[in-house]
Amino acid sequence: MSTSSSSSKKIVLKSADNETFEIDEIVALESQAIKNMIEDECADNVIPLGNIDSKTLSKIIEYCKKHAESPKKDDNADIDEKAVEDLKSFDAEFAKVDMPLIQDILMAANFLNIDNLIGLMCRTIADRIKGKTPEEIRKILNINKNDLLSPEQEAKAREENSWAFD
Amino acid sequence: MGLQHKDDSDDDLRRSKKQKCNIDMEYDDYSDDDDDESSPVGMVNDGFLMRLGEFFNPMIPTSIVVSDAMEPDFPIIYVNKVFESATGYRADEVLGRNCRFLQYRDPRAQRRHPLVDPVCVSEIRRCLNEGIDFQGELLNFRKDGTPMVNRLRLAPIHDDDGVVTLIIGIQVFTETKIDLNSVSYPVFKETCKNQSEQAVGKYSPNSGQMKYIECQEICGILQLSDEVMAQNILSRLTPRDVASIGSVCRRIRQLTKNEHVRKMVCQNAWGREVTGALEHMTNKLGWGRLARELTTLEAVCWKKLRVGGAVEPSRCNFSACAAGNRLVLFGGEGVNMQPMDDTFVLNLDAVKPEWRQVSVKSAPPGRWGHTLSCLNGSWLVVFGGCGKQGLLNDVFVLDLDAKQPTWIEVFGGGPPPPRSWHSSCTIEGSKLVVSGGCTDAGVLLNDTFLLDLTMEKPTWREIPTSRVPPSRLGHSLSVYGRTKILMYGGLANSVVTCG
Repeated sequence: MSTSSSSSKKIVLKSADNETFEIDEIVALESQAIKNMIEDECADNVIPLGNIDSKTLSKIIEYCKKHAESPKKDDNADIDEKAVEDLKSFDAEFAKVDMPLIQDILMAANFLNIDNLIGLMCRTIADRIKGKTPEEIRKILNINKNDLLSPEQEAKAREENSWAFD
Repeated sequence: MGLQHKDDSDDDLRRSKKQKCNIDMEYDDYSDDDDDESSPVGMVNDGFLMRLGEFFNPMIPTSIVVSDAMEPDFPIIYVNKVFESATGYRADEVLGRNCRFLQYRDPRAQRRHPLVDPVCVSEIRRCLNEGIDFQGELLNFRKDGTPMVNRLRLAPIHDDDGVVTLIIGIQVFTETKIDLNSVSYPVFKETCKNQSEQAVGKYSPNSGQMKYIECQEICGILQLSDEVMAQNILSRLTPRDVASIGSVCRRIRQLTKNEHVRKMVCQNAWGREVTGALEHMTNKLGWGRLARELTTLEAVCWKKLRVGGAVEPSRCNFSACAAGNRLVLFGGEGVNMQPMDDTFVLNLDAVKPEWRQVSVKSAPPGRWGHTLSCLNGSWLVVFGGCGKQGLLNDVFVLDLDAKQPTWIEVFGGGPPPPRSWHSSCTIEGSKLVVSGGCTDAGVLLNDTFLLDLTMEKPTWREIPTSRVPPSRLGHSLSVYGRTKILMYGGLANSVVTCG
């Protein structure tokens, strides 16, 4: 359990399409899963992330860098509000991507166990669903045909939920 | 010990379902075959025993490990024979060690094999730290390096003071075929149950990649665990949105039908206090129905109320307002355009509500087309209207609860011009706001005035507004959000003769 991170220590992540990303350990520690790997000393070389492509991974690293640089809330009660605002506007900009990428980032963040990022992506999805009809939501989320309700179930669900569409 | 991340299926959402599973105690046979020293099963409390059957097939030998939770790093103090034969490790080789060596492919390896799911391992650690049950699957290795899947349950045993003294590990080992050369961290956090059941052999060659590709065909968020979906997405939606998304697909429909999820959505929409009160009042009507009724207000309806007494003589153009559950009425236009000056109260809290005239010591001059508004609690205030001598701009207050209710005139400096058919309301329980109405000359007004009745010498103040609404009369003013006023409707752009 030696995580006393000298700031210069580097971690290399490898994406599914074999692109490597060298990042500071402190940035990698934003991911609880990677943190656990490092703590358990099974991550001293390259960490292969066979289920995250390089496009998604580079977004995630962008996020982790920014959040690793920002002062943590519990460190200090009176961190300046500017930093908080700055992080907020970063998050808002970060989330301005298309839905497939949002979902890729969410799944990867879920895998890597980055709580803040899971929250941000879920919030974004929720915001895009708000006030939409089931058809619109299906399109937004790109729901596969196999997951749809049967016609009978659909009719029943419609009836039960008809109040929501008045 | 490490074990497969437990897919969040152990969360509350599913626990109820699990508890319905059949209970089978036959696994006892497999633990008793050992030495005579206290069988670990004997140490287990009943609640734990009862739940084993849901997780383990009693026909498969069960390996049992007991670790000392009072010592650092939870050393093993007992293993049964099934453990020895399943893992290839003899008891004397493992006693005193932490069980995580099963995650090492080689007995001399000092680290977890990369195919062991780190998320699952951290979940085990979390459960041990919190002293709660863990249940799940993870990759382990026999002493000879053969990979196997360990279906594991960890249960902490608490002493009388609630301190965890022992950890009981129940393990079912099964063979697995994995490609140990594909060093890729395996799957995402276990997600929805259906999908994981469909996925063929979690540790099949290249399962990590395969599963991911497979998953890309389905919508990404459907791979999330119920917990993440509910806590992070549904909790941010309104009951209406949740109903809408409930028709989107099977998985989400299942989730939105869950009572815990529905309750959470209601709590987020209306606050814990409201939902707590509703839970009592409605006697478990079901959160789905409550969400619907509170959103549509479909149960709201007018009901004709039969009350005793009467407001006599009959009249029109009076003014009335509510003071708590009491309806108060003042003045109005009687027969032959007679301006009235009497006060009536209808107490709706009474067993048999009836109109009663309030005997007041002195009354304001009779009037109609005035306003009556409620101040803090039981105080009422009258402003303006049309009296015998023409339009008025006077102010009277009355304490309904006083021993001898008396209308007292308030002389506020700089009053608004006399008027009738204006509108009024009170903000913060003490400030009277008057707007619009019509003058003696029949001109419509668009001004707004405020009188703070808490001041010793109240003074009228005109409220300047950046955008002035068109002049009007007979409109309504409602207060919301403490200090915001909503003006609605009325009659405008028309010259009427008042008074």
